[in-house]
Amino acid sequence: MEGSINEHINRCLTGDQAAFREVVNRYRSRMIRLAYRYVHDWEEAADISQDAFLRAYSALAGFDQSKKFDAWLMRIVVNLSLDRLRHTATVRTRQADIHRMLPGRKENPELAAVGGEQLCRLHELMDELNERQRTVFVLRELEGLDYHAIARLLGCSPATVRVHLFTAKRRLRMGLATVSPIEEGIG
Amino acid sequence: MKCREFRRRMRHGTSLTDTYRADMEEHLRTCDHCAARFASTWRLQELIDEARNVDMPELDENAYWRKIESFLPPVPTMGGLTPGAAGEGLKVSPLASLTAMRNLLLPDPVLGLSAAILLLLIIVATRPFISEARFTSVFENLPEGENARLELLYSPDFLLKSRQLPTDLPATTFFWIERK
Repeated sequence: MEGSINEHINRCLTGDQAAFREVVNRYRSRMIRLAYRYVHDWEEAADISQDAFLRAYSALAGFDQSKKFDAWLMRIVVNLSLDRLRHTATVRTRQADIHRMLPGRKENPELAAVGGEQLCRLHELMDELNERQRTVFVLRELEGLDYHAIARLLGCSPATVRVHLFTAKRRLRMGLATVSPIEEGIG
Repeated sequence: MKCREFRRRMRHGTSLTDTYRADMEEHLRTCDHCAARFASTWRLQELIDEARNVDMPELDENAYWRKIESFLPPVPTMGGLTPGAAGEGLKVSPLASLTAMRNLLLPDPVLGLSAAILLLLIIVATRPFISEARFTSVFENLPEGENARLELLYSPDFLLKSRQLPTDLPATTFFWIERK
């Protein structure tokens, strides 16, 4: 798989844009989804992923082909997403996305409202995490990468990744608990 | 079961045996603190599962590509551009363009090493002439009466020679090197 991506990259380096289109097709969905984890807006996520592909293409000659291309691309997307979040102060309404996220709950509006609220709260709490914690949480829990892959991507040790994940989850858990009537009842 | 043991087992999740599970359920009935923690962990995991399974809307692949294509340069540049706008571990190093040159011109490491050795030999071969030229330049431009000393790097491949300056420059010694 990596061998064939390197062939594509070498073709791109000669100016073969069709080869780059194949690269885009291969990673497009994954990169949009990753950006969405940060910005919670599909259009913006697509925009970020396009920007990431452009930057990757421009810097393709400097890419070390012994490394994993998808990890390199993911890192670009993560950085661009974080950058977008830093510079964008617009408040987004996420209800439409939440509605789309929970197709099984459409039949029960009350349940959908509760679940949507919780997911919305989860997103808000994710926004409050620091960049490292958030990135580790997204890559591990939402994208399913293993600790070693995340560590390579972030340039730190797997142990550090575990610590960030633990802290992130604890903060999320505590944040959710502060608004949860269920938890208050248990205590 | 103690709370610490309960939390340790809770981290194992679905790999728990029935015996462990029964112990934990018993603990949950008696410890409000652990019950609350268990509930919040469970809820978080449910939300993570929901967030993970987000459905991506349909995308116009052609429109998506056309936007990228409209900004594509004819060929990728030789490094220099920072692919990521922020964060760590992404900035292209100053050596990026060298890496790019190597990838394009010298894909074979042996070839690269040979080129480096050849370059080194050229530098070594021309060094005495460069050094002597520098020496001559400094020597000729030295202000009268100034006491100065030019030190050149000594190498076992070269002889170290010295010569006295004219008498109007007192006690000044210059060194230069010549090939053996």
